[in-house]
Amino acid sequence: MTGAPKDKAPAKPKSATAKAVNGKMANGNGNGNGNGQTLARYEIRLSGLGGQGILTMGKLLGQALAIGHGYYVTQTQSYGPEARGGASRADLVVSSEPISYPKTEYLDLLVALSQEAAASYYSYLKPRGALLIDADLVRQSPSSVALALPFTRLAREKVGVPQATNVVALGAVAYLLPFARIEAMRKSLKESLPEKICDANIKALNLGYQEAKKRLGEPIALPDPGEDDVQAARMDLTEIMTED
Amino acid sequence: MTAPRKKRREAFLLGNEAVVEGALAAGCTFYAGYPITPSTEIMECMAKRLPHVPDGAFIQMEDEIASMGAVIGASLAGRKAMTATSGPGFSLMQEQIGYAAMTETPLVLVNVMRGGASTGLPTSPGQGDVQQARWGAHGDHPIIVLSATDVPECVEMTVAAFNFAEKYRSPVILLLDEITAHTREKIELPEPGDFEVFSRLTPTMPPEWYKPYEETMRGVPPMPPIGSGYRFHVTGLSHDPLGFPTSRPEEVRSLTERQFRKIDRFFEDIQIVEHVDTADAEVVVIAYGCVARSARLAVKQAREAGVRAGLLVLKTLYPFPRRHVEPMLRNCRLAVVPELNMGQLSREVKRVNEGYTTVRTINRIDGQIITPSQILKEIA
Amino acid sequence: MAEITQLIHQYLRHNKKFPLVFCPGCGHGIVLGSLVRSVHALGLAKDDVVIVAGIGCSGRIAAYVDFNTVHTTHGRALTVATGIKMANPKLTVIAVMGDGDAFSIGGNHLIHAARRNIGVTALVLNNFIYGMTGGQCSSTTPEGAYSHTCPQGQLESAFDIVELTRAAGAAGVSRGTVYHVKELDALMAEAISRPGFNLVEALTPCFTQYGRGNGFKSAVEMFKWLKSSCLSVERYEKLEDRTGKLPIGTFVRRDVDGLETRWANMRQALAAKKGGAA
Ligand SMILES: Cc1ncc(C[n+]2csc(CCOP(=O)(O)OP(=O)(O)O)c2C)c(N)n1
Ligand code: SF4
Ligand SMILES: [Mg+2]
Repeated sequence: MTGAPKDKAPAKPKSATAKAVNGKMANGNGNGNGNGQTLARYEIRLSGLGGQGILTMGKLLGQALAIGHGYYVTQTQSYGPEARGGASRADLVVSSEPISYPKTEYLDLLVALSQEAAASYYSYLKPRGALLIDADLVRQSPSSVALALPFTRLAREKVGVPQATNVVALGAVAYLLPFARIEAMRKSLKESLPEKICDANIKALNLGYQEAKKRLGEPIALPDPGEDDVQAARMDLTEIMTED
Repeated sequence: MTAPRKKRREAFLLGNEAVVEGALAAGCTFYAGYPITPSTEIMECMAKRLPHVPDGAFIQMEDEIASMGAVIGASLAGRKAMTATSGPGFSLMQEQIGYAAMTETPLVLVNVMRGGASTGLPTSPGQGDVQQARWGAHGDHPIIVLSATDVPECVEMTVAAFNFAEKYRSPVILLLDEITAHTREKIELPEPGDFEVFSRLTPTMPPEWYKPYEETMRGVPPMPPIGSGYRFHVTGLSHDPLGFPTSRPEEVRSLTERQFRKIDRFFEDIQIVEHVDTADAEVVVIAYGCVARSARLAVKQAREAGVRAGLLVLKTLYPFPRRHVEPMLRNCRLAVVPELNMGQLSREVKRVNEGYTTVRTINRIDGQIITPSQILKEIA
Repeated sequence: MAEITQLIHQYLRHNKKFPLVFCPGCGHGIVLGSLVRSVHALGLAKDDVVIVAGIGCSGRIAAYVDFNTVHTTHGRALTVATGIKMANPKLTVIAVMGDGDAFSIGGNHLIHAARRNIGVTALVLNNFIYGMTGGQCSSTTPEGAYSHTCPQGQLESAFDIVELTRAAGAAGVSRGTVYHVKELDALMAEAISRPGFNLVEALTPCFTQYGRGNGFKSAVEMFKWLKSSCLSVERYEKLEDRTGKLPIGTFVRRDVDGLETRWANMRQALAAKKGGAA
């Protein structure tokens, strides 16, 4: 082991700098066209308690949508005191266009695996946004039109692995999102999880997907582009988003 | 443009993880650091990766002063070396940054800016270290400060940071913010040949002719790794071309002047900016880091509303890209500078403006990002 | 005499302005000689030796010797030395520091260098005072001694360097003086050869800033004091009355690998595992 680096002399004319100057980078982000579906900015929040695997769920979903489907995705999450205090949250913005503002502003889909999460984040939902809750853990739904499945019970009783709750929920999300493909979710799962726990998690994912198909009706309908003026509906929520 | 290639490997990474990809692509083989939110993922990722990198070395030091010391030592021994930190750690590093500038030791320092002074807001974004990055170390010294707005740019700007460090024998500071560092996005993993990679020039003359701080055409003397047969003296004292301490006015002056000139002469190479719709702009937003993302949307919305707005994204903060900023100020009726601080880069904009046009600042220091609508309100 | 001339030619820099910056009677120059002689005795190539110095009169030694020399910031020599050693383990890295440098401002780095046993030799020139800044107390100034920042006498107690570095885990700890030059040469050669972190404390008089204010009439008297008060550990241990006496010699000898070696071994094991799996 010696100290001298052995880099070859520069061979390629294009430089990091040149690349960065030329507008949006070739590197990174999607081609923006997942399932052939063009998608205006779509915002998702996954929420619950620490220990429910919310952050992993966020990463898996984001990875599947970004790499498997080719959408532009930004994923952010709760850090610090909030993350330690028991609450947990992962946010995703999905779009066919490059995403400028990376954080969520106004949710299209809120997944809540705890009563506290459902109550505190419901107000961020768009008027026609969808709410998906754990039927057992969220006793008092903030909305009468919530979609509900007993994710935790399913994971415990049907998969035999209580820790797979997040992946059961992910399966349901894969069904509900009209632009998501379950195969891409499966692939994301296989690539990210250790082999030991992979089979149980694939089982959990399929279970969530099937249960949602059986009990939750049609996938979520996307708003027609231009139907309601998204721009006007987007308000500055930063005043109340103190825990961002 | 290019022929279709085989599918590239993609990954869904944090900005912090993307920095590591960039560093390794640039040839970094040494990391020393001390954990601090929100930069810690850089260190943890390096700890995982470097044992597998040829000649890779990693060490967790006892504090940030020590981390900088180890990085300086490794660089003197010929390595491309880096460290990463945040606010409080960045303050501790200042004396060593000055030493690296004075001894012309290449290194990369990533500072992931968090909110507030002192311990402040450890998990919230801020941009309050901009002036510190330029002037944090005492005494006149040149420095290069870069920034990045999203995850793919974390790769590119880290590569640029290493290239500039090596090319100009200078410490390079990459300023990120908590949002950029903690957002996951897809990147294409860099592969050999993706980037032009520079390594410092080493001397070709026999050791007895070598003068470590000699005036050269580019102002950047060649630098051999310690132990390669060129025995010379390195000191933070003002020194003569041989590296020995001096207080002779003409030697002191020519040292400092050369150190500034070596950066000044290559402004064109160093000052990286991105123009978005600025050609016909009557209003320009000048932004960097995560705020530039909000600005991008705001400018688009302003255009839709009929305002000819443009965006100038500064990826190099220092040397301040006056050549790019000044013409914008001459041609626009309004310049808006949004920042997550009480007004730091806007000072430079106002300095360059010299009263020409209206410069409006948007300052946010509550740990929240400046939203597109906040910027839109100021331009439309 | 001829031998000394030869060493001067071989190891001191010709292009550097002499005489030394040190005051007449300063012990630092003697330590410089000891450093050169121990490197010579070990037969090390000049290209492979790195002197990393801190700030202080002691740190100025670096500029005079014809090795790879790095004059760093106050207290941080060991951090730079650590980076150099990790980056290129085949180099012999010697950190030259003052007592203020090593034990006051750099105290944290010292105990951590000892704990992680980085393969660096720390040579500390202990004159019980901040020489360069004009005579303020350091963390080795004895209780009751005078300095410009303790004009009424030092109220704090001094570090016991040997116990400090022993407890921190150093592979080797020794003490010598500039009066006992032969022994100092040997201590240094031994420290440089032993793997892991090794500390040599060299007691060296500073008449200008310490002796004058503490009852010594001349630099010579300070050398006489070293002669009369220092004796080998072996003899010291047998003394019944140890007041006013100081042991010199090697206090700690541990058989450990340097951190750089442990790092290299870890990498080798990783590579073997990878190779085996493929
Ligand atoms: C950060 C910093 N603080 C203070 C100083 C001023 N300073 C220079 S040398 C020195 C003390 C040197 O004492 P010591 O290490 O014992 O070395 P000696 O001169 O006695 O050999 C001090 C405080 C400095 N250079 N840097
Ligand atoms: S001040 Fe003391 S330590 Fe410094 S050169 Fe003079 S005698 Fe030596
Ligand atoms: Mg001293």
